[in-house]
Amino acid sequence: MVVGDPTKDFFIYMLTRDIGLSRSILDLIDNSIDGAQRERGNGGLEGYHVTLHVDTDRFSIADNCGGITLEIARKYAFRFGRPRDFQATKHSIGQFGVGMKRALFKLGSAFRIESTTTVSRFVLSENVEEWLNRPEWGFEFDELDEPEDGFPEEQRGTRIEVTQLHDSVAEAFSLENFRNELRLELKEAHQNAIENGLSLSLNGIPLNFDPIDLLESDQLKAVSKEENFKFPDDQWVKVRIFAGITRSDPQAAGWYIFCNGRLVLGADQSQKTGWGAGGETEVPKFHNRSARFRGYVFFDADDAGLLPWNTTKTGVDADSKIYRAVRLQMISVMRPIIDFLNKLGREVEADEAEKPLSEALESASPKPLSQLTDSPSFQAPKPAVVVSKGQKTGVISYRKNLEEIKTVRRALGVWTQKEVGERTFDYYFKLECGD
Amino acid sequence: MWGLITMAQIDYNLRPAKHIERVMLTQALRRLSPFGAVESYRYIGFGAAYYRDFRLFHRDLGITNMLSIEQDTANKFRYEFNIPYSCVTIRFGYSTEVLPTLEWDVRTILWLDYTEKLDRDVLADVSFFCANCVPGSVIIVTVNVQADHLKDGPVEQLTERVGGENMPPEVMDHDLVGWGLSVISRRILKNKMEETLAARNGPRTAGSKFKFRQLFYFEYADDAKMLTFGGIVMEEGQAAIAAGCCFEGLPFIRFAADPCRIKVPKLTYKEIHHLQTQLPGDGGPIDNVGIPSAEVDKFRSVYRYFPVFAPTDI
Repeated sequence: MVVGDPTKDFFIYMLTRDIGLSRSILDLIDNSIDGAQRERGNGGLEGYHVTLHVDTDRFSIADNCGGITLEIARKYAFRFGRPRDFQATKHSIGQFGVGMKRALFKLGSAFRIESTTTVSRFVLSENVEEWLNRPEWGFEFDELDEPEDGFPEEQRGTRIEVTQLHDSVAEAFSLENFRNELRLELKEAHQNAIENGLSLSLNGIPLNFDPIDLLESDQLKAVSKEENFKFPDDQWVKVRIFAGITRSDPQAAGWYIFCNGRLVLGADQSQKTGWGAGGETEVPKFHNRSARFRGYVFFDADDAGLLPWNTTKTGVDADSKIYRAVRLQMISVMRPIIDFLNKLGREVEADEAEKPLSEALESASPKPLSQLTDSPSFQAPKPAVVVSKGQKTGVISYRKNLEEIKTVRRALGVWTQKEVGERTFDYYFKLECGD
Repeated sequence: MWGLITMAQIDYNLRPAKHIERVMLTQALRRLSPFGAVESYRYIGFGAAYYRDFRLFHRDLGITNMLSIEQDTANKFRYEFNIPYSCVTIRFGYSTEVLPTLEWDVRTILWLDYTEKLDRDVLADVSFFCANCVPGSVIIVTVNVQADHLKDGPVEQLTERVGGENMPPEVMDHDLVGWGLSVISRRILKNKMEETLAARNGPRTAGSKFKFRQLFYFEYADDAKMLTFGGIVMEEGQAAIAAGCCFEGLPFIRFAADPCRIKVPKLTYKEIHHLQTQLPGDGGPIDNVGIPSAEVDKFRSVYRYFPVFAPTDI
């Protein structure tokens, strides 16, 4: 017989190494939101709260999201990974059965979980060092209570406390900057839940919802479209794509990908979301001229396993079939927006008498995504074109080193070699031959 | 003469092989009706100033939803002046720019009739179409496939134009001589279509997956060697509909890697009339009055699509 069992140390090491501290905290909130969804069904999350507290000695999270049932606690919540027979919450975000354990191990060496449902209450506390030294993988309840008349609503919920924080964690929690960052990440990742009414607070300060909006007017239409993909067993993934322009902010520009309301990729400006596709012929690489670009993709499914996220929920699974198909759509819709922004930049630089693009931008007003008119593609006015009337023209053609042409093309922000020739000619003419 | 390159080019009307190709395409497109009435299709092409394809597709196919993409914005008035029918609209800009701004909920025939060689811009258009078209739509791509000089390194040239990721790795310089660039250009185009459709198909269920069915693989040379490659994008479940189109009944349709080379015979009008009276015949020998048999064979394969030119002042 050869030993093939995993060791606990290996498990903890593997679980915790690939996830950042704040990301692991987000996972705990995912569980709370799933609990609330389970209770409320498809309704909003008004009345539910999740309260976080972090300091140098202690981490705690408390919610009123229904609590963990004894069955879930015994069979699933403390296991590593989901067994096959697990009945997942519809439209859940806690999908892989590792979130809570990973967060606990990531944060410190001692934890205590207290959870109360309508019919039961349990307390489970553990010292991780001691658990590591025991051969068995299980945990023991400290207290267990199933009274005849159950528990009133105000007592229901879950409270998790982690103490004996790891040094690096205690240090991070002591930094105001870390707490600020955590606040932003929480807000961003869970904006959908906050928008739906969840009240979320960190160290006593509530997190607000900043509505996502894009500019719209009669002339300017952001992309707003929806497609449903059918999967076996009558499962569906609903995909909503929004893209357009808003205030200029190079840091915030890019694509945002949500899975069941949870942000998994934010302000992405990489190939993963189509930037630089087709060797930059389909879409150029991200450039500050695109600082007004925003795109949002929402994947929603009852079966969270169909969504294209990775296990740490810190990005998309770029190889997933559905993501590859949706990425094609993203590439298709972003090109006209980038073209518009490039032309807008040119219009501003050229200081022409007519400025239809700038005017369109000024007259447009921000609209929340949910209120945008359906539009499969971005619509914007055309730039004022200077038309030559009967001027005689000639053709110049010459060969240059391709790398150099590319460098100039990027510097000019144009698409074709023809434009490179024209713009460089204009530049020389203006400087050396103009008035 | 007009000042710009596209304007200065010889009228396609004088290019017999191009004309023959256009007539053949029209005959094939007429057979699309099992997918939907041909007149309900949208046609997108590069009309230039002559709008030959637009005239033909409007007159012969009854298409009224027609859009010409024109990149030459400096002569806007001229292109607008030359619009042959009120149902033709022009969008100025590069096809790569214009295509993504259109709505794609209608069956479309897109003819990317380039005069340049295959490059990334062409592939971007092809990829966009395959990612967005509705089933039953047709894509036709014409590119220049005149071989690059061996001393210029044809493989390097092509790789530079299409990008390393689109270039079949085993192609050598000597594969790109003669009609070699046509063979490889077709392969690169087909690969791009299949790649895009595969990504689009990922989440789709069996039967509703898209596939590309090649119909057109023309080669001709009025002066430079040209390739026209194309076909229909349909759902797998539409095989019966496609069969109903009876494309195979047209001798110039090509489903695979054997090109239909359009060869134009050099004949006098008198010879044309003489040969024509004996066609189609039973395929046996005909009275050739001394015309070389190679020319007779060429004429036999294209006589139904052959243009009759006469110099006029109309």
